[in-house]
Amino acid sequence: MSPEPAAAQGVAQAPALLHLEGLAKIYSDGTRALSAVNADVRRGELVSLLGPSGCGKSTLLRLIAGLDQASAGKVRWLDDAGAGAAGGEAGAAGAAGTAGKLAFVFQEPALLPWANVFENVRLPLKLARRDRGSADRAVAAALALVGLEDARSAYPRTLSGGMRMRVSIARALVTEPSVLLLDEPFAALDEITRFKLNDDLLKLWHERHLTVIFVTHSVFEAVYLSGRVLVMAAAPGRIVAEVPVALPYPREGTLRTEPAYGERCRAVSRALAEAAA
Amino acid sequence: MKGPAEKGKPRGATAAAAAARLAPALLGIAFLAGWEILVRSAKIPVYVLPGPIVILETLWRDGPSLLASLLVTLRITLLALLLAAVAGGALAFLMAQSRLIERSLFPYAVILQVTPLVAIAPLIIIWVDNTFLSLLLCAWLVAFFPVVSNTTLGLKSADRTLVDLFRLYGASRWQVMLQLQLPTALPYFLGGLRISGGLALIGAVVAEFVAGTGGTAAGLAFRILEAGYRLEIPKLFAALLLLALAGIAIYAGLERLSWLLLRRWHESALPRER
Ligand SMILES: Nc1ncnc2c1ncn2[C@@H]1O[C@H](COP(=O)(O)OP(=O)(O)OP(=O)(O)O)[C@@H](O)[C@H]1O
Ligand SMILES: [Mg+2]
Repeated sequence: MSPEPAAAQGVAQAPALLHLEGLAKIYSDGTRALSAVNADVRRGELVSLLGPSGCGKSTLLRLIAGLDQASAGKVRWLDDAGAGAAGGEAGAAGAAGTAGKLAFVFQEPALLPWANVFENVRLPLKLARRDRGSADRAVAAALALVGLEDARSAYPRTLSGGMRMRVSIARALVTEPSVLLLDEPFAALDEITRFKLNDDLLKLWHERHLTVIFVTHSVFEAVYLSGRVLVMAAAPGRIVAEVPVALPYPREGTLRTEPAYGERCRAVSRALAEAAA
Repeated sequence: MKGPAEKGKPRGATAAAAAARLAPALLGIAFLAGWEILVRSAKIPVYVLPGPIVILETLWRDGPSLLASLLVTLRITLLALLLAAVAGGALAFLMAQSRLIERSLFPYAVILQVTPLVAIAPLIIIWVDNTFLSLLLCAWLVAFFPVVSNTTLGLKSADRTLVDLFRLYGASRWQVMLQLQLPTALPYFLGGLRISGGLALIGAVVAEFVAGTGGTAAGLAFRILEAGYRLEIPKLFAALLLLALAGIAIYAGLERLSWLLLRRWHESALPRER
């Protein structure tokens, strides 16, 4: 069907970038958010974490980013993407070492209300003390990437939800990361905007050779975007199935009406239902 | 292209806005008229309750001398407020640096706050030789706590996701403080300052009452005391009126300051769309 399924296959052969080994997280109040999570993420892959609310998706993503410490197990970066040249475990120190390489898009846009769009996108560079000239160029490029050149001096409160999310994505991209973690970034948006941003994300992933871990609770979104869906179950949070999505890239909106797409969605839904049972 | 008729708000909205602005003024005028009528019809003597007209006359006559006293009180009030803003902000900043510092200092700030000023003012006035300084200290004591407690709260109120974001990008503690915590705390600080404005005035007046300083450095409180002793009740009311006006002016000034600093982004300063 596709002239070039090579992109997806190329990923399958690519070396693992991230290795999760028996990850567990028990919060201080006793909540067992994750237990024995094992997974690999390959370089250049777009992989989705799919599961019901409260199954520990955000927790897992935070552990990967080094924002929280695992109670047991390890997050291992197999090159310098995650944890600096040492290639060690991501911890609090790892998070500091990742500055620039790893970017996180949170569930809510999390913009500074007192700063305009341009300043918000410039924040990571400012924190890294990048010089003004090159920072400004990078910000302009990131804004162009998400189509927000005209909104650069607007304040977040005057933007629509979709525009805010785009600012958040531009801010994540401005450091030219190689790994992008997204935590249900489009969950609060209407479907039309979500479809548009899905396509934008696919384009960015392709152009920038990103490795993307995408958290969602939408089967359709997971299948549309990813080459592989990791299905999670709750209490305690764990990965229960891995469903490959053998649909070729590049993908476009027309894919949503194709039988092959529906077929994949059914497979993932089944895995999700089995997980819940 | 917008024609002149389409520009601005529709006529109904303008009328409503005008009514909203006029309503409190009308209520005030009605109240004053009722007061005047009551005083005249019941023949209440001026040394019990003077009518508004007599009070205004007195204000006109004694205006210059009362105004001089008002300036004395205002000077203490504003200086106390300024020092409260600086010291309160600095103390909150210091306490935000470490839990230990906060634990050690905050109880004493609370003790200072809950001790009634009238009870310690005599001590302060005995201990501090200079009258001006002792009055200033009294006014400052009551004014600084709202700034400290509000700013402390504000410094701790930074959005958790934003804190994570800063951490992710390897921000130093100092960067988090300057670029996240301080801007977050600004509206809280300004809110505290607004409370402090009124309190500083009250503190200055209470301290003047206790000190009972007369002569050229007499503040408005002393004039109120004096008028009370001499049964010059209209003058007492005139002084009270000035005091109230000063309080309102301070509040309005601080509100304006708050608006100027927050108008671009904070909910409290945003215009409401209709
Ligand atoms: N800081 C915390 N302290 C205690 N428990 C927590 C904390 N954060 C999350 N949890 C708990 O851990 C579990 C997993 O939470 P998490 O936020 O990772 O779920 P999620 O899959 O991201 O859910 P959602 O789709 O609603 O965002 C939940 O039961 C939650 O109550
Ligand atoms: Mg979540």
